[in-house]
This record gives sequence, C-alpha cells and structure tokens, in this order.
Amino acid sequence: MAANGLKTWFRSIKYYIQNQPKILLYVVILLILSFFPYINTLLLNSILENIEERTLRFMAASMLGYVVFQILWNLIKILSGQLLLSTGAGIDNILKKAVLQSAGRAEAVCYEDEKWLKEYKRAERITGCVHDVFVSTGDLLSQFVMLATYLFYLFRLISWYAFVGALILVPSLLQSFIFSRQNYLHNRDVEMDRQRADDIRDMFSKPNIIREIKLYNAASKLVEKWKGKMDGIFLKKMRLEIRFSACTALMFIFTSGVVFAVLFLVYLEIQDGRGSVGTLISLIPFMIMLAQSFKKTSNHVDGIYYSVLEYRDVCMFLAGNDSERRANAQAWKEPVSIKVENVSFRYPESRQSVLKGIHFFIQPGEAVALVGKNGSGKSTLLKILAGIYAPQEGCVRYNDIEIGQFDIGQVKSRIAFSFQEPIHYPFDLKRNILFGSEGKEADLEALLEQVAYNGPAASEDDILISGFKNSVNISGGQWQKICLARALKNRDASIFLFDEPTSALDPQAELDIFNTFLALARGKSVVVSTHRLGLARQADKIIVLEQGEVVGTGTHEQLLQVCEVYRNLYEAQKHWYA
Amino acid sequence: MKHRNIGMHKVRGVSMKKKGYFGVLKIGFQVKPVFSGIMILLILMLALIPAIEIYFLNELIGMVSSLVPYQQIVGVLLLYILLYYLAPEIMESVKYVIRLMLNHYLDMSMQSVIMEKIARISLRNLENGTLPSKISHAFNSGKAGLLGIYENIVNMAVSVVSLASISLLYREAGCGVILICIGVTIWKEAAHKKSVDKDHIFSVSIEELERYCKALKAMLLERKNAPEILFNGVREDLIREWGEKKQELDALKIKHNALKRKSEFFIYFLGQLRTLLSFIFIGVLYVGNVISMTVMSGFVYAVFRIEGVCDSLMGYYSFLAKNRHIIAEIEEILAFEEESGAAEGELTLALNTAPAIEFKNVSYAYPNRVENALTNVSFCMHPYEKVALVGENGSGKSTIIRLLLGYDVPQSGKVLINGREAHLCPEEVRRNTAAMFQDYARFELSLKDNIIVSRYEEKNMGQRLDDAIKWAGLEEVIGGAKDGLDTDVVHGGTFSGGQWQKIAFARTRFRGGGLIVLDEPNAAVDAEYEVKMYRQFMELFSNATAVVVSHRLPVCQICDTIIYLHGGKILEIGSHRELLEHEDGAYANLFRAQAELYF
Repeated sequence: MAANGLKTWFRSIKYYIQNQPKILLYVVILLILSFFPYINTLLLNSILENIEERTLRFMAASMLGYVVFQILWNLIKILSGQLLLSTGAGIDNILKKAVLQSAGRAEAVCYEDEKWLKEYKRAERITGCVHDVFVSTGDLLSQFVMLATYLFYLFRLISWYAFVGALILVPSLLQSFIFSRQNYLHNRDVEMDRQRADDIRDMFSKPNIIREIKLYNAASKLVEKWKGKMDGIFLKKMRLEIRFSACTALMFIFTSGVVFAVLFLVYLEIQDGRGSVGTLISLIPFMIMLAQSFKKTSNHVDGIYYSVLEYRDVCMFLAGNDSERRANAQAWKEPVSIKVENVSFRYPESRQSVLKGIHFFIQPGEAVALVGKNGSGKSTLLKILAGIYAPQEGCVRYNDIEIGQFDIGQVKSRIAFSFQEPIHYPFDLKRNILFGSEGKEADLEALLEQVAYNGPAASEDDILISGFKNSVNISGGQWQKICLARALKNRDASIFLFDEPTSALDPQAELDIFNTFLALARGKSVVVSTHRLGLARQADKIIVLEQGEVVGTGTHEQLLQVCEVYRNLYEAQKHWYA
Repeated sequence: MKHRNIGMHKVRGVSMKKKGYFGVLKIGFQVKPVFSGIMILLILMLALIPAIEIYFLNELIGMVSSLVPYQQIVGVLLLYILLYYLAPEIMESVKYVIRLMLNHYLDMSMQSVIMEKIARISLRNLENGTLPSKISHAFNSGKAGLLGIYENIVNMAVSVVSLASISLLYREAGCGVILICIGVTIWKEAAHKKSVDKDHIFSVSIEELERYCKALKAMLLERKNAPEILFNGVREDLIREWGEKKQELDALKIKHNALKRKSEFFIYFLGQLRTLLSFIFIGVLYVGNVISMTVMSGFVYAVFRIEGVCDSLMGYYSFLAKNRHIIAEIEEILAFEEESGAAEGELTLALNTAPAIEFKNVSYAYPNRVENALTNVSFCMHPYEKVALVGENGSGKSTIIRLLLGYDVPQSGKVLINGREAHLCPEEVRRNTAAMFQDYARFELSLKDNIIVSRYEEKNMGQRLDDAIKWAGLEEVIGGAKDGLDTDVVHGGTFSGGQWQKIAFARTRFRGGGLIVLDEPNAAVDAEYEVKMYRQFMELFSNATAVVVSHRLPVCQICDTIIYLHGGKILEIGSHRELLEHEDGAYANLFRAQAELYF
C-alpha cells in the first residue's frame, strides 16, 4: 500500500510539472527560502551574543541588516505566492477539463447509474488535489531543509544531544498518517449526506420551488430536515476530531518531555563551563520552534497523504471511461429506412426492462407516431433510435447497416432530435438555439417563425436562466419551441425524432407544428411520440407501446380494428370533443 | 405602492439589531452558552501567555546569571516549557474542538434564519435583481465570516488585556515599545483599510462570474442533460466555453490578488520600520542606563511578542472591518420587505370555504419587462364557480394565477378574494388553496415528502395519503421505485415527466382547499390518464372555486366559464356552449380545429 501511495504521489508531481513547467521556478525559490529561517536566527543571535563586547554601531548595523533581510524575505514570498496562484489555477483547470472530457467518452447510459454519477461529480470536485499535493510536498521539503539547518545549529551547539530532538518526529508522523486516512474515509462517507443537505438548502434559491414553499408554508419543515442532516454530519466529524485531539495532547506531553530533556542537558553543559547564558536563552524559544516545526512537518505529511488518496480516485475515474465506439465509417445513403430488430433495454439500476423485444420497420419518408402510457418506454426507444443508448439485446439498423458502424459525426448530422426536457443553456436566445452548430448556415428568423416563437425578444445580453442580473423569464411552452428550433435547424437531416414536442404548446401552435412535421416527412423519416391521438391519427404509421412491448402497428383505421388498447384510448379522448 | 418595512426582527427569540456585531455575540451565547463561555475563558488564558513568557524568560536569565541552586532553575525551566509550550498547545486543541462546535451551531442558526426569511420575501425580489446573489453570498461566506467575527471580538478585548499586563510588568520599556508599536500599527491599518474597500467592489464582480462558470459546468454534470449533450456533440464546445470563462475568472482573481499583495507589501514594510524603531528605543534605554543588560536581551524577544499582539489586535479589527459587509449583507437580507404577514382583523377566509374572486381593471408587467403581461383585465367569479383560462403561450394565463395567489401586486387595478386584496393577505389565501403549477416543484426529499410536503400533523394522515395515491394513480410508480414511498428524489430526477405530473397531482389532492388552481395539469400525461383526470377534476372541484389553465380544450366543458385571453387582454368570456355559438369566435375556431382531428 505504501508503494502504491508513493507511485501515485510521483505521478501527480509528474503531471503537475508536465502541464505547468513554471512550477519548477517555485521549487527553486522555495528551496532558497528554506534557508532563510536559519539565516534569520544567525542574524538575531549576532545581535545578542557577546553584547558586552560589541559596539553600538555594530549593533545598529546588525539591526538594520536584520530588518532589510526580513523585507527581502517577504518580497520573495509574495512573488512566489503569485506564481503559485497562477499555476494552481492552471493545473486545476487542466485536470477538470480532463475529467469533463473523460465523462464524455463514457456511454450516455452511465449517467443513469447513481454510483458512476457520484464518482464523476466527486472527481470533478476534488481536482484541486494535484495542486495540494505539490504545495504540501514543497512545504514538507522546505520544512526538512529548515529542520536540517536547525539540527545542524543544535549539533554545533550541543553535539549529539541534537538527535534527541529528532525523536519527536517519529510518533507525530505516525499519527498524521493514521489520522489523514481516517479523515479521507470520513469525508467520502459523509459526502452524500452533505450533498443532500446542500440540495435542500439550494431549493431556497430557486424561485419556482420557493413559490410552492410559500404555498405549503413548508419553510420550517424543510429547515428542520436540513438541520437534521447537518447535525448528523457534524456528530460524525466531532467523534473523529475528539479522538484526534486526544492523540495530539499525548503527543504534546511527549514532546514537552523531550524539549525539557534537551534544555536540561544544555544547562548541565553550562554548569560544566561549556557554553554561555546567551546560548541557553537563544535555545529555549529555538527548541520550542523546533517542536512546532515537527508538528508542521507532520501536518504537511497529513496533507500530502490525503491529497494523494484523492488523486488516486480521480485517476481511477479517468481510467474507467474509455469506451470509444469503433466506427467503420460507413457511408450514409439517402433515402434511409429504419429497422428495429428485437431490441431490449434496461437501465443500469432498474430491476425490470424498459423495452422488451421491440421490432418494427420504418420506410423512408414515413411519418410515424409513437403512442403509449407514461413509462411505456417511448423516450427510451427514441434515444435508442438516435444511437444515444445502446440496447442490451438486438440492434437498430439504418439501411440495413447497424448504427454503431457509422461515424458518430455522420450520425449526428443526419438525425435531428427534439428532447422532452431540453437543456436550458445560460446563453441568450440565439445561442440557445444555434449552440453547437455555429459554423453552419442557419436563418434564425425563419426558424423562430417556423416554430411560432412568441416569447420575450431577448437581446444578446440577456440570459435565459434565472439568478443573474440580466435574466429573462422563459415559460415552458417557449422552451419547447426553442427545442424544436434546435432540431429543425438541421436542414441536412434525413431522420427527425421528436419526443413529446407539443405537450406545453397551445392548441393552435400544436396543430401548426404537427403540420410542419407532416410536411417534413416528404422525403425524410419523422418519428413523433405524442399523447394527442387526434394528431397521431394523421401519421402514416402508428406504433403503440404498452409496458415496453409493441402491441400494435399500422394505420389509424387498421389499429381501430385490431388493437384494443389503441381503440379504447382513442375513443376516450374523442368522447371529450363530442 | 408602499409596503410595510420591518426594521427589527424577532426570529425565534434572536434579534438582529443594527449593531450587527453584538447581535452575533448574542446569538453565540443564546445557542451554546456553556461552550461560548469556555471558549472565551480559553482565549483569555491564551492571551496572557505572552506576558507570562516574557516574565519567565527574564526570571530564567536572572537566575542563570546569578548563583541559584539548580533545582530552582530546573523548576523554572519546566514551568516555562509547561506554560509556554504544553499548556497553550493543549488549550489550542481544546479551543479547536470547541471552535468546530460553535462554528457549526452559529452557521446553522444564521443559515436557517436566512432560509426562513427567504420564504417570507416576495417572489418578485427573488427572481431577479441583486438579492439572489446576495443570498448565495451569505450562504457561502457566512461560515468563515461569522465565527471569525465572533472570535475576533473576544480576541480584541483580550489582546488589550495582554498589552496592559506587559506594560504593567515593564513600565517604561514596556510602555514605550507598546506605544511605538501601536502608533505604527495604526498607520498600517489606515493603509490596509483603503485596500479593503477597493477589494469589496472587485469581489462582487468576481462573484457573478463565478456563478456563471458554475452554471456552465453544471450543464455537464447533470444527469438529465447527458443525452442531449451527447447527441448534439456539444460537449467539447461547452467545455471550451467553460474553460474560457474560467480563465477570465482566474485572471481577474490573480489581478485582484496582485493588487492586494502590493498594498500588503507596503504594510509589511511599515511593520519592519516599527521593529527597527523599537530596537533603537530599547538601545537608547540601555545606553541611558534605564534598563539592565538582561532586561534588554529579554526585550529583544519581547519586541516580537508585543508586535505580534499589536498585529493581532489590528488584524482582528481589520477582519471585522472587512467582513462588515457580510454582516451588512445579512442585515440587508433580514431587513428586506416581506410579503404582508398575518391578516389584520378577523379571518374572513376560513379553511375549505370556496371564495369569490374578482379582477378589477388589472394591469401588470413583469419586472424588467416593458410590455404589459395583462392589460385592463376584469372578471368576476362566484364561490364554487369553475373557470378555464385559454389562450396562446404568453397570453397572460399564468400571470393571472400569479396575481391570484398574491405572489405579486398589479401595477393598477385590484385582485380581490372575498373582497380583500390578495397581496395583502397572501398567507390566508394560500392556506386555503391547493395549486398545481406548470413548473411544479420537485423537492429534494423522499417521494412521500413530495406528496405531503408539510402537513405531517394532520389527522388521518395515513388515510389521506392512501387516498391521494389511489386517486392520482401512483401505485405503479411507487411499485417501480427503488425504495417505494421512501425513494429519495435526487436533483429532480428519478421519475419521468409524466410520473412527476401524477405526483404533483397527488400533492394537490392531499392538500385540498376551497380554492383550486391548476396550471397545465395534464400537459405531459398519457391519453388514458388524461381522460381519468377529467373525471377527477370534477371530484376535486365539487366543493371549491376553481381556476384551470389548459391547452386541452375538453377541460373547458367541465368548467362553468371560459376566459379566452390574447395578448394580455380578455377576448371572449362565456360558457362553452355560448362561445361555440359565436360566429368565427376565437374559442369556437380553436375547439373545432381540435375536434376535427377526431371526426
């Protein structure tokens, strides 16, 4: 385990130096600075030693020299601090980007896996560990140099008694190893709880949730729940801290004993005539400084160990996401037929399959309606058609070629998808629609007209999400239109997939959009999932899903005859328009 | 429009007066009196250490120079180490543990006070403007600021005691050095204060950029965004966008830091000047035979001790000064105008009575928007009447609901519930209302909590819960969920859109009330459930006044009156049958267009 720790430590140092070579300059400065305390003590002692023999002029010069030295020291510290700040930010960004990009190489379905998602968010959060390892190592290094200089000074003064002082180091190092591991485990443990507590508190920063909190007068209840979670986390932390403090107290007693022993030995030397009063005087705070320096050393070791453990977690996450889909770069030929062959699919953490043995065929240029109850698998099926999820069994073929064989870039430019719950980018209206295809030609005005967008005409400075100075409020229906515009901007697409695109739209808009879909279907395939059976009726083919299985395929008239599920649904809806 | 301004607040017996600092101290004692006391005692003892150290050092020097039996010296040495090293370190450890505890409880107190306050501030102020950022700032900075402030007030008082003890021990030498130190330290602080004020302006602009970066990064971390990001291949673009903004933020922070360092260096230089002056002063005293050699050599270290205490003193003061804006922000949040509180006079809207509603010439525009969302809207509703609001997106339907529930005030006109303006008695109105919003809340709690929300003390709670579950058709959802009713909702996910709508529906049923408000209750539900819902609406409405917004026109047949809105104005108003008879009426055309799909 120690060897692994050393390997990980070495890797993180290498990573830092490779990506931010400027940091080597910091190391050099740090090493130089480590000698300064020793020089400091020398200067101070030159003022005090043999006072009776020195002239006033000499003392004044020493004092001035001392002050100038302090100023110089501080200046160098400031400059190196700035350097550290910029490299720290730099390496943190690089590692964060690596984590974010690595998550992109994972399958989309991983996001539905709670464990993976948790590791991902954690890895993203702890990227500061690389910088921490380096800084702690640097501090440890300079501490060692300082310690070496102290011990050397002590050795010159009181010879081998100096090594008695080194005794203090061993137990404090041990203690810091044990404690930092426990701290690390504790933090991993309570992370989930802390996240949940933060989630509850963050509800108070979302206006639409506050609106309901007001309605239900639920504020005090929520605060109580939050407090309960926070208290739980706190109690665990307290137990750990108390144990650590008790250990530390024992450590201090042991250290005091050692310091006293050394000083007493020095006193005995003075009694024997070897050494002056001044030596003892300068030695007393010096020994205490030494003891505190040992404590700092163990703190640094603690810091390194903890950060190395974190870095190991980040590396494990990065290593786990290398599922590049191998594409054979097949050519995409128009017109495209879609064949779904015996597809079954189950989400990572769920007990039952969402889709079972789905099998159907879509001709090029067909307008297809997908109907079924909530939870029957329509959204999942559409995502599988788009190649976002890969089915556990069966496959989807475009023109008889399996979707995995196509180049990903090809797939994305040929299929347009409108999602049920679109992403709200923190951008203005134009970017929210055109983001991701900025290079291509797109007529924003025409798009907005096509979806009949009538929301606030947001300017370039406005942000469409709430909470910022220039936020603009966009309703659900308008977001749906934005999402449709995102899909429709893709003029070259041969396949259009729409996941419940009109649920929040007013009746007129709904009718218009649906007619747009039908117009699109000339020459291109369109699959729309909807609950509006009156609209579905006009499609070329209707596929009825029930509990993950296809229970009917055909035109409206055919299904009325053959599929009882469909017939009941249709008649029930129709009844309300009589 | 004047709103009642609430100056001093009594929240749970803790009052935050204008003198914010002492308010903080008071909270500490009210929350955890014993620990606060112990902590103050420890700080006091630790503060006496410098004086004690100088005293013992001088004793030691004296003893070693003269002929004293070595047991005494050993004793003094031991005592010195005990007092100067061991005792302070152990006290620091204890102090650290107590600090953690105090930090936790102070932090929780403050944050919970803020959370409860937020629930009382009017919605308009929480949606935009500067308040949201102030709140997030207060949440995040409260931790470091509050305990620091608490400690520093005590530390300051105790440092003064420390200095006084040194000056008592060493009279001229002590006083002289102390005076020099204080003089230069004050000069230091003046320089520091200037930089602190500039600092604050900088940090406000950094904070907004930081939240923006966080929002961008959140896109890439949320589960529900993953399919769209993967499909559109925008991951690299988003990462790049985030990277650029982050670099901007980092550059700003480094520049900010550099400015701080520049002023800090000047201050440090002043500190060294102080040391020099102190040394010269001691030298002069020695040459003038005011102090002996032993005292002088002891005093060289004493200078550092005294400087340390002065610096700490000023440090505490400047910390308080720097963080006064945290206190100021928290005070601002707590002093913010709230929605009108409990009703003055008698309760005219008892629970479970169906109210009469009237909109009288109401005009309203959203904050930050120029155009009106509603213009001169007037209509009346009798108790037990059911009204459907129909119209395009953006025609004002949700706005009517917003004003109806007292979430905001119309610019002109009145919204009257049983004759009283809604925004003046919002708590009363809402207590009697069950509402389902278009963007209903997904609470980060269990499924059960999402249905019940807050009324755990209700009689027959279990029965009502079962009833709501059956009524909303949630049995399947609960059966399929990982832990059934206790399944935790994480980041609004866990259930599909349609399932969520059923949960929100169950929530409405569980609540019940004399006023029922439904804003797009069936947008995402399947055909089978939609039809079931219409039957349930009738049940839900039977003893209530109801307002429904829906694009599904069959709902209009259940309602007594239909109000057709267009561009913020009422275009048509009447019953379903009446409106159908209008030649080329807007509603009639719409209904026929939808109906034709089926016939």
